[in-house]
Amino acid sequence: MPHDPSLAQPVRPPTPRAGAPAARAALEVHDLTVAYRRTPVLLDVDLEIPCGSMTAIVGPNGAGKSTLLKAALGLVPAATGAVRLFGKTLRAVRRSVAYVPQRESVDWEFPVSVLEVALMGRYGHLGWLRRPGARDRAIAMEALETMGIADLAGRQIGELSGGQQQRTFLARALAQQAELYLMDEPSAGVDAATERAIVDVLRRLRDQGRTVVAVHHDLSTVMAWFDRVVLLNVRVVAAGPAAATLTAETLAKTYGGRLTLLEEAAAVMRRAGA
Amino acid sequence: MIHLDADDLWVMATAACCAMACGLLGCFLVLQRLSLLGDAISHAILPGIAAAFIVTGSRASGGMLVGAAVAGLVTAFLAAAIRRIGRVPEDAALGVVFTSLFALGVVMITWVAGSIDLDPGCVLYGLIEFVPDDRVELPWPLAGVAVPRAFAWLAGALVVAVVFVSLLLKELRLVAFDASLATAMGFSAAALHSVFLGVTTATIVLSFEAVGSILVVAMLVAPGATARLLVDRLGAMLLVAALAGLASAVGGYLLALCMDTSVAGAMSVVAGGLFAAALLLSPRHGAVARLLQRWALTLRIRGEDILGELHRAGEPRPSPPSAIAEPPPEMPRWERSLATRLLLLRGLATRSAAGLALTPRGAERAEELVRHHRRWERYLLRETELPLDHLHEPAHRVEHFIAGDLARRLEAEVPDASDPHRPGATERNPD
Repeated sequence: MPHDPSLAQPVRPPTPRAGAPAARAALEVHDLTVAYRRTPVLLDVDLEIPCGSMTAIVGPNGAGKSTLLKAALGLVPAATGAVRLFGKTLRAVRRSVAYVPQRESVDWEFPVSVLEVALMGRYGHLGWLRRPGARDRAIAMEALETMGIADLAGRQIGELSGGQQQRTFLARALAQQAELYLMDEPSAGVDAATERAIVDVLRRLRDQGRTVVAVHHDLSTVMAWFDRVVLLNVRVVAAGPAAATLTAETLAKTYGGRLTLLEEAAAVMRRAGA
Repeated sequence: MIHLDADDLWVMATAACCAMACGLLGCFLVLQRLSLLGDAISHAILPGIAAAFIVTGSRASGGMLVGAAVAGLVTAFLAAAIRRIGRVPEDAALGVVFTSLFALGVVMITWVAGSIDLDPGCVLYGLIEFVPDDRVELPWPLAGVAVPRAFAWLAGALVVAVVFVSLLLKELRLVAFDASLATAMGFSAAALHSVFLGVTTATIVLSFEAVGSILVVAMLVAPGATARLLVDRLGAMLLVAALAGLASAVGGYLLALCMDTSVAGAMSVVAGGLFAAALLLSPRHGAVARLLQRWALTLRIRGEDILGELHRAGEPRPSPPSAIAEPPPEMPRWERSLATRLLLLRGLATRSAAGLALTPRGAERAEELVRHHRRWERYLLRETELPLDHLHEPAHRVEHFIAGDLARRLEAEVPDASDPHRPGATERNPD
């Protein structure tokens, strides 16, 4: 792996970390267009996500929410546009970015233990060929403890419930000790207790000055959990502080006719402070 | 008793090197659901061999290896291209590519077979019996030592496979498990996959001449699949796959000697037999283990039902008019006698002249079961508003599984453990 000398010092300010976030945006997307077989999935997306914020990406199925995260990580080729992370290219700040893909994207019968999955979070710091050491193990175990699954460390991942699997993924992201966390539906299909635990951890990250960007599917909880919202439907419909951005008008624009009355009512109630 | 001479040992060692190298690499094919790709490469190198043979006019290995390697890489490339184009399901596309290429190879070989000495059968079964006849001298520092040429090549392939897998275990694990995270972290999944395919193709090509395509296909998939059934960690899986390959090679050779049959065929049969044995006998995923588990569960439930019967028999029961008569549990006689014997063994019941009776511990367990049963009935009554006469059956099924945390939570939800069927015991829950 080519070692950029600037990586010797991580891009984040060393200590104390809870202080004022850097003025720079954690994630900047300019004029991004991504197409699968000539059908645009993302069109002219412009975004700026400030450091130390907790942002939800919200939109209907097929709106390009997952693709936006993947494009930010260079996992899908962009037709046009540029992505900057902390003002730099992805290559320069890879180790400061953690990614939690959708739970269904991996084979949970794969022969690894929960601890081994958490340890994968350390691989990026290790680079090619180096094996995880005692310190990496300690970090991975601590991440499992934070997610409340330290007692499952030795289990094969196929034995876990859906919520425990998602906690394992979150623990892996925590072990990455990143500055920016990109998460694809971290709370989809999990039990209420796990949902609670996930939100607590995301908040703690934010309070430490780190940046969280999560694809979120549940309109009724967006307002309560996130401080910023990006409404996406191939294009960015609206983006900004949650309360100002989530209006009946922008929601209708984002979801077109597809938004069910139920979801709309729930969002309106939340906004009214119910 | 079979007598083995040096030549036999060379054949076994050659086959073992091939089987272990293929077994190690095959683990990753199995885990990434790419087993068919191994098949495809090992079949599709045939036209490469034939073309090299036609061009050079000789059976010298150098030209054949190059031809085979080129054909193998072309297959891997075609497979990737077809996946990208994506209009045809990948397995169907791969199936078409490799059978067509294999058929092309067969046509080419039979076309030239009349004029030159090349036996199509050898390609299928290999020439492993004749491995010891073709020797090469080793280079310095072992100059002067002559070993079978195929052994030298395949031992080299095994060393390469072992070094590749052990050096890059961390990266291979990450890419096989979560390719997108690997790429996001800077371990290019595509690059590592290409290197892996290169090593695999080289191993297949080196194996091909000695052991033929049938054995290569068997060894790429069977040991890895066997190992997957037996263990739940990647490192252990690689070790078990290598051992399964070794066992197939040695066992298959002995089988072939005993039955005087095709060596490569016998080795493949043993590899398949090991897989079948793992399927049946694996401690966690095996059919026998599951059967035993289910059986143990049945006996436990039967035993608990008997405890319940004994408990009810000893309880003064005024039989209120509204109570639903509990159906006498029907139980095959052999299950009843086995379950009873287990209760006696575990000290939950005693047998005297008066018949079966509960011990204090048995009575305790029976009361616990009855409490769980009634609490579950009350919980159902409250949550689902099932009619009274529909409560017993589900509670009767669930009571055996309520323990630990679930029991504590049920007790917190439903403190009242009296029979909901008895009016007056407590009043019905208002909601």
